[in-house]
Amino acid sequence: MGYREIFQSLGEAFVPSGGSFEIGGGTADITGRFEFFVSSFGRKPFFTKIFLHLFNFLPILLLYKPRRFVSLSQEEKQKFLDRLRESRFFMLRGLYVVVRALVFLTFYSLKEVCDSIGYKAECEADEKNL
Amino acid sequence: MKKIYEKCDAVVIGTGAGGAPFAKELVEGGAKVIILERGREFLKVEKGENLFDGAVRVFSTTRAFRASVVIGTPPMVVGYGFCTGGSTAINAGTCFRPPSHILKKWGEEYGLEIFTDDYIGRIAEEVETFLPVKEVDERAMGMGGKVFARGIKNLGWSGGVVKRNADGCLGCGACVAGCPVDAKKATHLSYLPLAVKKGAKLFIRAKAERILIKNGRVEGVEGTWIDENGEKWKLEIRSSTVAAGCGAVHTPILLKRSIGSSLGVIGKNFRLHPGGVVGAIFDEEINCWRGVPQSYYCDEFLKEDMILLLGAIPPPLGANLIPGFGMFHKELMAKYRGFIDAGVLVSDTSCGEVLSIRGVPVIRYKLHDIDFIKLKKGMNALAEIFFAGGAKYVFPLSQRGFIARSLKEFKEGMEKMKKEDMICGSIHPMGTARMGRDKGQSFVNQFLESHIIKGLFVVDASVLPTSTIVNPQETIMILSTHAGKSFVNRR
Repeated sequence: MGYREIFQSLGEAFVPSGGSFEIGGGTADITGRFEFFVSSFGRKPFFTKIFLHLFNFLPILLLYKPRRFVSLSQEEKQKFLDRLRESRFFMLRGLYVVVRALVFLTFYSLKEVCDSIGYKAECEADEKNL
Repeated sequence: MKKIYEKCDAVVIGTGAGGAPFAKELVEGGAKVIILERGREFLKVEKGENLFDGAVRVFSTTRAFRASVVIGTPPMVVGYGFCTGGSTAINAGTCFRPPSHILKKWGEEYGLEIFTDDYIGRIAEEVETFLPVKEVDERAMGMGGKVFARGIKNLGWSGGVVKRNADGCLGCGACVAGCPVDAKKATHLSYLPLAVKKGAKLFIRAKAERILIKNGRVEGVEGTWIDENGEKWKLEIRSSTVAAGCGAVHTPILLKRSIGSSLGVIGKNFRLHPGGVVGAIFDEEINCWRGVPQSYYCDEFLKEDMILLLGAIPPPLGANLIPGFGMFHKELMAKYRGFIDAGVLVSDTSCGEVLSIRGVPVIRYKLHDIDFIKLKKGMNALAEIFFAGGAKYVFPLSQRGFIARSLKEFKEGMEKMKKEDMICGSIHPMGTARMGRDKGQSFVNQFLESHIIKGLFVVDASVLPTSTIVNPQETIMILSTHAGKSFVNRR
């Protein structure tokens, strides 16, 4: 089980497929986007990989189920993420904020997603656009 | 390591809102000036480039954005520029003069009587003419500014069009990653090139390790420099004047390393100028990424030490502002063309401290309840503006978050919010080598010269004895221009 599968699984939980635009976090290339960001800074995603692998085992603590995040049903994933968000422990709420940010920063910077929501990302520095 | 030895009248450390204007004044006054900038040369987004990818390119190449974690409740992050131009390179170009009641407070509580409205006004005039500073052109404002203004006017509140150092702005919204047409006159495009043209020598990627001090007088600076070929040199510069303009996080670290940490005031009085953010979704098309990001402000609560400012964040960041996840969140993101956000900046009474562990900043800060209440009040005011303007959904940036469909619902949600739920940050650190008359409570006098070390100046946000409420870049430029002129006149 590579970190890609865990990341895509998180992607699908945070941004499901379907609705106003079909593409979701599970099918979009959010891992590729993440690797682009990290490699732009001359780094490799070593610590993120370890973080995601550890995160994958967190449902054992919070849902009391001997299963990893990737093998939960969509409903169980959402229940788990809700528990993180509502936790009285700051560290767990912080974890939620971090994984959510990872998914949203990568997913909503993809060109096909930007096109779907009508966001034009090109720098239009032209007088005729005033 | 090879060594460079230089001699000059003054060394200026830092090229941001403080260092660059100070250097310009000294050079124009006939002084021989050497400028050291620890960061790299800033770049800019290109026309036609994907804004997000362009920002990644600029920041990954220049490493221009730095952040320090602030340990406290709530934990926060303080960001600042680390490049030519300092934070002026990565800000939105917003310019405000310091509010009158803040200047009055500085006079009454800190003995800084020189900073009258008239005196500051004269120097502000000069700064604003030089850059220049003008109101945002209505054509560059974008729908975001108009919607925000509409809400403010519907409430009968006081507000106005933001002034910026960006004459000629075409409203592309790329400000924080470098203006593609160089309209935004950050200091590396204004003060710094003029100082160099008039004879200042500039070293980029030069770190000041220590200010040399002997018998209560400055003697120069020693440091290191990495040249264009990547070769590292030792730097020793002898001068009778040194000005630290490294910012409120790094200036105290340099001062402590040079003077010793026994001097109580350095690093203390750290002010964060904390901000809270509120977002909204309207049925109408706003396309908030088009136009100047910070084009309109509301100063209805200025006397309560708060200012409200429009923002504009692209979808990868905006998605984090909208609470929740799953299909409901996705459906709201599908309405992103109707998205808008704004922030409240609060003048904090809370004080923290900048420490360092082997040169790495470590900041302690606890948000006082009174400042937390102000933040909540400011966020409620933003929600009121959005609903008055016709918003359908309004939500605060926080860890748990909630979405409100009415002002009543929003205020009820904010009432329940605890300090540890907040996500707030800062890009205006201040106060860590503050000015004042009392030598026991301040590091520099009203001319920004150290009380105890002759020839040592601090010319950045470290000198601000209180938060400025408003964005501080113009205040810092005014103060460093004042310090430069005073220095030249007394030479």
